[in-house]
Amino acid sequence: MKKLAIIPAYNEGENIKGTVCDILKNAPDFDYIVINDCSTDNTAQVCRENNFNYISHPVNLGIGNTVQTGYIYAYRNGYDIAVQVDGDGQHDTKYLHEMAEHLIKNNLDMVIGSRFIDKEGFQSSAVRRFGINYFTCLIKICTGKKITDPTSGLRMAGKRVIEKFAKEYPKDYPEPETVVTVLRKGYKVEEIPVIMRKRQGGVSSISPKKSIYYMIKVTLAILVDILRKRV
Amino acid sequence: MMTNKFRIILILILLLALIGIIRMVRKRSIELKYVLSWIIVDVIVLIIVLIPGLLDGIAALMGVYSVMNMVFFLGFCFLLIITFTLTVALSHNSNKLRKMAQEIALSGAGKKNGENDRDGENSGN
Repeated sequence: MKKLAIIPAYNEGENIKGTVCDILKNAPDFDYIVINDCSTDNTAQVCRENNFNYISHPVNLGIGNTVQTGYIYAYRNGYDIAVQVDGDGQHDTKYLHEMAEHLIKNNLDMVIGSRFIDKEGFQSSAVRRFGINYFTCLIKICTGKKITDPTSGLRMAGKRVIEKFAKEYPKDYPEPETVVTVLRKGYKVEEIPVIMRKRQGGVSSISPKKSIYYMIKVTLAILVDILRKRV
Repeated sequence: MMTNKFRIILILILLLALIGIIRMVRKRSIELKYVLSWIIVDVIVLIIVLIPGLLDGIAALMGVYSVMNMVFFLGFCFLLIITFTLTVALSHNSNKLRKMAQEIALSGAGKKNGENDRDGENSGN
């Protein structure tokens, strides 16, 4: 069973080495690929010097497309499982095993690491939790399935979902939207409890100003998805 | 109504614009596909200006009282159509750009690392 960790990186020169080493140590059965989204810092240099497995976009495409490049790579190289690990140190790679086991054992298509099942570790701010709850409700209404942490970036995809994502993936803020797409395809999605750390450096990509855009865009995307034909 | 003086000025402007557009297409600095709508608008307005009674006729036909109102309204509609066409074209282009960038990145995946990074060269995006 071939397993891949996708590490999208934009200006992660400081964190990228830690993230890759973390995977090598905690999840040695996973291959990994760093997708450098045309960083302006030394991300590529760090990857080259350490002989990491990495590829670079010739132009900056944004997070959604960067992750998608990873899924295309996974699809073309015949991986059975692909997991997305953010480069900023929020995700603990020790969960990769548990997630993979859960996915294989229950024959699932997607496993999401949720902060809100055991409610342990970094719980995000009250405002963000409100937003997350809103998406949980929206997804429940649209698909009938309760996803406690629809914005979680720690997610593992099985073969069918890899194929789907390789073909089609949202440009920005993809998390809640893709959960709906996958659920509506009739694929099986489950969550397992994880503890996330507070981000170790840098700032969140979702500033207060952008969060309004985020809410509107993602809501519309979900509604549009529902208007699409069920396949 | 239009004075003859204004009519001549308009005709000159429209002709100049048309010549300018066609010259640019000839020099291939713009695609005919995207200026087609501008050429059509230019020619339609030219016809309207050249035939004096036409505009009043159209206004009466559409039930618009003031001819000038109709000119503004039509101009507005044309602009909306052209802008929307551009939005569609932009959307297609960004999709193609995405695919191309991803393919370029992935085509470097098999090679030895170091051959495929281009960062730093184009920092602005």
